[in-house]
Amino acid sequence: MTPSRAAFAAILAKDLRSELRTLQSLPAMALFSVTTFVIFRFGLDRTQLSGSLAAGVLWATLLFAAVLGINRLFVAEREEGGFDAIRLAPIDRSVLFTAKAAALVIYLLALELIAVPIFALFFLDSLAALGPLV
Amino acid sequence: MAATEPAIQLAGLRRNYGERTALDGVGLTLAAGESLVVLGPNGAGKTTLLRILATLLRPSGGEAMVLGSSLPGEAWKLRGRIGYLGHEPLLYRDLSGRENLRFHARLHGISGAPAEARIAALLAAAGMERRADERIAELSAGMRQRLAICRCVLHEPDLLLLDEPDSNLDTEGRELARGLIGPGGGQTRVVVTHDPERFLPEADQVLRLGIGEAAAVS
Repeated sequence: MTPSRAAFAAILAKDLRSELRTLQSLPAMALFSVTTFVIFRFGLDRTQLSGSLAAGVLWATLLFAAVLGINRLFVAEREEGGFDAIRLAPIDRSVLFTAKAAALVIYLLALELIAVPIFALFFLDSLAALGPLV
Repeated sequence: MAATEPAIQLAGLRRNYGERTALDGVGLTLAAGESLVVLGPNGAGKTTLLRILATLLRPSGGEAMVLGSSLPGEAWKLRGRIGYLGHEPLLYRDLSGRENLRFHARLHGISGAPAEARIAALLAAAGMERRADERIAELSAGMRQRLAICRCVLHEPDLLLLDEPDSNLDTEGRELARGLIGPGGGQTRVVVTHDPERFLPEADQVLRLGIGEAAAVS
């Protein structure tokens, strides 16, 4: 069996390299987040949010953006035969899911660098008001 | 696997897709190092048989022993010992050929200088050195097939499962492929083909699958 750490690193590096090269997931996630903030801003008809409502808008948006990322991470494997290739290799299959989860966490961290300041711009008085939300 | 044990032993192998029977009662014994050619019309179950042998599909019934391991229960023992070349090249479109081969090498526990040497040798043997750093999406179908063949033999498997290995290859590509997956390599080979004239001369056994007919081994 290939050591799980080596297989994990190989799958994670492959996913990150592929994303850096094509930028298929992160821009879509960022665009989705900004669009959702615009919808909330007009839908709630409020320019200021605070407390649990602000936290709810932010985290629900990030959660749904994560679904886009998950979709891209797994659809690419299915369309390009990655699942078969990984099933043929002498690795623990759970490594695939842990590597995908790690890739998603990295996508989300990158997304938050973009989406959270935009959220603050739309709904908060200052960046300091983000503190209680995150 | 004991020296005298067959590489592949099938008895009454069956696979259904819902109500439809794709494989019905396939039985054969193939010794280590032998070549089996599988013939039959479209929809006869050739690819299904290959995917069962590759542990990518579970049989619905019957018995299958591959390299001394019973399928599907001991499929995990076979991983890394099978080289599978299917209809899809199993290569990532956004990575280059060399990056794809590095990725597969790492999955099979080959890394560093040995991996680079093996990849370089395979790319040279497949005539792909000059195009190895281009993205798969930018390559022709024939070049993808050459790289898929490199991927298939990268980890030096004991059993090669080849589904129409010549598809998309030009004359030069076929000759180069023969050097990589031809009968001289010493591995047990199962070749699905619609080109019997090319593969029958090197076959030790032939399995003919028909739609609604019993499988015949000769």
